Amino acid sequence: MNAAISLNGLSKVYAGAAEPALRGVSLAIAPGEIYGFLGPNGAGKSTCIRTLMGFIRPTAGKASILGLDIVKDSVAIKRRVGYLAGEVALYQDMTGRQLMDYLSALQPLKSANCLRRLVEDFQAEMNRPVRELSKGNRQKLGIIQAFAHQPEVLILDEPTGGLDPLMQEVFYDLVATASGDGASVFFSSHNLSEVQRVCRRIGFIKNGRLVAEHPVNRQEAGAKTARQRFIVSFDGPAPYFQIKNLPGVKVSRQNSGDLTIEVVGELAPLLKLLGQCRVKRLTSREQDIESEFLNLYQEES
Amino acid sequence: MIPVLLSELRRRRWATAGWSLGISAYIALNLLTYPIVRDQSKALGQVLASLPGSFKTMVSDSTDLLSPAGFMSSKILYLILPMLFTVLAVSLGSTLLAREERSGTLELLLARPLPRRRLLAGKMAAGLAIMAIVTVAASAIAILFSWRVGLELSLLRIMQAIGLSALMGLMFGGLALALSALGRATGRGSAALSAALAVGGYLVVSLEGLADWLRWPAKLLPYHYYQPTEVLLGGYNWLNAWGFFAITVILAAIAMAGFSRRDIGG
Ligand SMILES: Nc1ncnc2c1ncn2[C@@H]1O[C@H](COP(=O)(O)OP(=O)(O)OP(=O)(O)O)[C@@H](O)[C@H]1O
Ligand SMILES: [Mg+2]
Repeated sequence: MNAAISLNGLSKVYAGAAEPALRGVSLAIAPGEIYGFLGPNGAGKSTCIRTLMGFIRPTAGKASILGLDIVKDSVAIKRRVGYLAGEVALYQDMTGRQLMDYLSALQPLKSANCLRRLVEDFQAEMNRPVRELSKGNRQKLGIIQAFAHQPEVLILDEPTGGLDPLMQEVFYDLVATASGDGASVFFSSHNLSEVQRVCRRIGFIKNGRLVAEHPVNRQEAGAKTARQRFIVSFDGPAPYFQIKNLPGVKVSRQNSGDLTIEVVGELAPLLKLLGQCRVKRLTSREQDIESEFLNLYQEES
Repeated sequence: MIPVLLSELRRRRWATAGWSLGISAYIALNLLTYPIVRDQSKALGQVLASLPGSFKTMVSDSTDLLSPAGFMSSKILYLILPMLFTVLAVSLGSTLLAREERSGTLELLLARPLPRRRLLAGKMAAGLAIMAIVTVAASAIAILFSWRVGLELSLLRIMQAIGLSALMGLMFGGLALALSALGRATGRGSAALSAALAVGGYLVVSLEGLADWLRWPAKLLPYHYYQPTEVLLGGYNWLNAWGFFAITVILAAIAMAGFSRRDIGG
């Protein structure tokens, strides 16, 4: 199977910079896949994205989009890619409408309907000059211009920045629909829960290196292999050792006396045991990638 | 390329109208003073004779400031018009690309299936068109008013002299564009450098007749080859104009080559 986006040892040293901004990043994104790109500020997310778009040249390594080389075939790639910049810059004195007219003169739309629907869904302000728009309303225009020509690959740098929760939902729906139609989506974000919710896979970049990649498999969340975590408070002594002896269960005692219980596989034995105890409160924490990623953020480089 | 050209023209339409109007008004007002100068040439001649030689070389390349060609050169063609064209061209050259790069909108264009060369060609075409519009307006007004006040010069040569002046400005604009196309670092100083070369060149060349040691460096400067009086009198060596043109083309080629491979932004 051909990857929609494939990076092979992609590196970038900016002119005059002492340190590389990107150090040999390799990854592959399948057609229809939604891939989230996380990492602390200055990790190299935008650098990676701007290299893919041909705005800056890789110092070493290769990458291809839809089988086309990002350096040699940059123009052909752009026929099929939608891009949103990390800091959306639009012409201040144009209205949204004028902007879309200009951009679609440079890249004809497959259907005017698509643009109309995007404008409706985002309730975008099309008739006021960009300089009068709020940050979120500018962001909407940025998203619309990236999706309007129905690209096969979307490369989005922090797409939800500035959007209100309602509009974020519209964006998630849009990404899901695009992916359903076979488009691949590569987007960077600082929002862990968003990435977990929307993406099928998450890459974590730090200091220019891809340090972790995780599948997010929502279908399997409740299945045998997934790990779940509960925090249980008891009225009275906690049955620490009994729980500890259950198969597939890890347990630890918190300072408060509560137990943190991690289960892999069947829940029934644990629930049966808890049923015999005086449980005061039970909270479920999905053993999320979140805590794992937070560790990645905190680790010293 | 065409959409870039049209969008740029649209964005600059009022500025272009302003430049056309301003330059035309300057030319018209000066030409309207010609009858006064002509009628009082005796008295004015005495005044001029008492002025230092450097004054004359600073305002014109003609020795007889009261002749029709001398008047045209000293009032319009030698200093003010080429400077105005230079300022216009340099401001175009240093903003056409650089402003979009600085503000970030360049990425919006480069995310389209538009080769960088074609994008730059659109910008160049817009700059060229604006220069052409202003030049045509200036020429039309100059011809109209020269005829009106009875300036005894060939109208064709007046047009040629204005065209030469615009061409030299265009060359400095090309320099500014090339510098900003090569990179943001060089782009930052593009306007200042091009303007300094234009003004410095003028100072050196206009004084070369008074100081022998300036004669040789003056030959390296474009202004040395800009001789509007010779154009008006029909004695200009047009190879010089082709030289301006060739340098402009080379600068455009440098801009293309530089812009097509370099990193955007930063
Ligand atoms: N134009 C540039 N010139 C030189 N260095 C740059 C340039 N752009 C970015 N850098 C450096 O490259 C590194 C990666 O920056 P990048 O913008 O890719 O980070 P990021 O992951 O997108 O961060 P953020 O989450 O803040 O957007 C940083 O150290 C930054 O200082
Ligand atoms: Mg960034």
